[in-house]
Amino acid sequence: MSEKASPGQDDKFSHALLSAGVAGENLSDGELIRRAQAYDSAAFAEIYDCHYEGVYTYVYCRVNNTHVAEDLAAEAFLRALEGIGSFQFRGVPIAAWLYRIAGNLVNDYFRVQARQDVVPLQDELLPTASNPSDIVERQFTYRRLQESLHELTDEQRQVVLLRFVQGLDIKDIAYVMGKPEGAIKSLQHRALSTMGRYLGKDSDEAGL
Amino acid sequence: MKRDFESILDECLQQLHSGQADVETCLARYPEQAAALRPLLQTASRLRAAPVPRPSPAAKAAGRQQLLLAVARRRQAQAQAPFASLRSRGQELAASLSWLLSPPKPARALVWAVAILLLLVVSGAGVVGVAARSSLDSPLYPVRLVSEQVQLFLTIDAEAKARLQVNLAQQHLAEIETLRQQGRLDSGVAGRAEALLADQERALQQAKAISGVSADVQEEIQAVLEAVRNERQTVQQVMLLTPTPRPTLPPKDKPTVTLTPSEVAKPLPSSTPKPAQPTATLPPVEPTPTPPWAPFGVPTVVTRPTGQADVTPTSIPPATLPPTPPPSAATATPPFAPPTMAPTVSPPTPLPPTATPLPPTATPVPANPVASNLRMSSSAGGGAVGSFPAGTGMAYAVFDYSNFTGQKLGVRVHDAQGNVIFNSGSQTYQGSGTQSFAVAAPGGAFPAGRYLTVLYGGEFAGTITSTFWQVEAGPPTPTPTPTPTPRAHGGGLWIWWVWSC
Repeated sequence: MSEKASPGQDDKFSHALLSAGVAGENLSDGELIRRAQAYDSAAFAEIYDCHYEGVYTYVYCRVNNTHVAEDLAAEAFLRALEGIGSFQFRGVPIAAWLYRIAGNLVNDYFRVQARQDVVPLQDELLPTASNPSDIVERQFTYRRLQESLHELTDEQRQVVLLRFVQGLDIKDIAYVMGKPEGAIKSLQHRALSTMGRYLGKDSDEAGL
Repeated sequence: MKRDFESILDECLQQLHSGQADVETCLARYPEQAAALRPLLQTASRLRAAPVPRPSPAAKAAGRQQLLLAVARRRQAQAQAPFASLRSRGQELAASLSWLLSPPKPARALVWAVAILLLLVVSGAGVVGVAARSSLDSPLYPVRLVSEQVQLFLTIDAEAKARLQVNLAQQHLAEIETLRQQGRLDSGVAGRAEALLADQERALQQAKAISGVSADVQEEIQAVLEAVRNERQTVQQVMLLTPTPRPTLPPKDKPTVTLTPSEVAKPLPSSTPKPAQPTATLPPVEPTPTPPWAPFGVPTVVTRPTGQADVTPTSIPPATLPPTPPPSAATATPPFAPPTMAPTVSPPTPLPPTATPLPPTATPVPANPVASNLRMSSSAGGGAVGSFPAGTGMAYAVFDYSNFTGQKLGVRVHDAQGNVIFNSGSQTYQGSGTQSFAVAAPGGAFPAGRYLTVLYGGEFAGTITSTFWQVEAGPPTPTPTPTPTPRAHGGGLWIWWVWSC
């Protein structure tokens, strides 16, 4: 994921990740926000194209359901359209703002569902690779990471997704989750410890 | 100490993320914390290297389409705020009058009589009369909508009410078509037209549900309902193709409705009979390609201009079209050449004139652009073919366009897995004509299965229309089966979803 993605992965996705929270992006974000506030379709198209996949991935990793993730990701952009008029750009990247909206939608979804709906991994979403052994290895890695994510609390999982999948920095994650930066650092530490223990245990069992 | 460790951890993670350092370098910088840092940094590295789930192109495209239409509506709602406010006031007025329909009481009957009297007085003053002839881009149009609401309210008989609703919808439909043909559907008016057609669609659906309406009227409602839906999709296409206006909000002190002598005297647009013009539909799904584009071969461009038509191909060398075998010539050998794709251009064939001559105006305005009749064919500029024989090596994506003034269009073809097997890229179009792109099969022959051709355009490459087609399995059949061009419709999302699964 992110810039370490395999060569076969989507350039657009890499762009989405690189655009999230990277220094220097804020200036263009401010201009994009100004254009979007005038309901400039091209600006919204740009925002959507840059950030849809990141938002989708974030939502999917939390709800673990393709169709729900697609619905919520699309809804996040419609909410962004509703709120763009009152949005005040203060240096927070657009990505962080979108993840905050998406995160609220996921929380609402969970409230309605009353429980976290953990469904079996959907194989069609597994990444593809040209080499069969690569496919097996990637599937194995993906499954183990998915399992280790389920060992985390929802807040820890959010931090992991935003930090390591979406590439946001601590400050932006604090904005998305509405928590102080110190709390985010603690969540990050605990999440990595838990996942490390789980994955380490797995490696020991597998003799890796 | 704990907070310090977390800060160190975060610093190391930043360095890993930015590529400034690897795990060992970070550990060397903090030898005291190395033992604790190592498993955490290794886990973070595994996380970064892990693959992630990706959305389906169809879902992404559907969301994009939904968002862009919502943006267009929002922008146009903002531009027509005074209009919307008047119309909603009219609807509130009609709703507030509804209590008069309750069982007659002397007081209410009196109020009703006074209301009718007032209405007659206002009508007598001529305002409603003038408004009744106003067109969608006139400031008096909201008054007309209010008077229509009142007219419907005062019609008690169910059958008569349904007929009136049909007549009103037909009038609006004809006027919007006329505006479109006259090129007066700019971004703002297109938004009003789309909102009005949405209202008409809802009203017709309600009229259809009224009990006591004869079968004849029901059929009439259904026919008009279909026409309204088609026109609405065409107007949505205009909304997508019309360039985004730069925000030029009127000053707040500008009067919302100004009745000037010239506007009062503005004649109703002449209702010239509309030529049969296929309307393009806006499916909710646009399967977006996975970049980078990987078209198989260079597109063959075939343009049939009419009059000032001037297609500007991008990055396509001058070319000539190889002779296209007639459909009957198809044999066990694939009838089309393998995709060597030497780009060729067929001789221009003028299309019959499609535009109705417009009444002379001071400044002639081109009609709104419409791209339509997207089809797959066995020949350049040919008719629609829904099913191609096994072994087909080349097919043609063909569409008609009219009244273009520099808007961009492009064609993509997706296979059953959603992969883009052809993309023409965006090209600028002028005037009217028919465009054909030769789509060569990767590997010499299209594998059996379903395909989707998408016509996209506008400043942000939204889907204009799409059509499914298929290549048959088994031995090649001698002739392709001509079928009407499948029209994209509201169920396209589900079709795409089921198909992609």
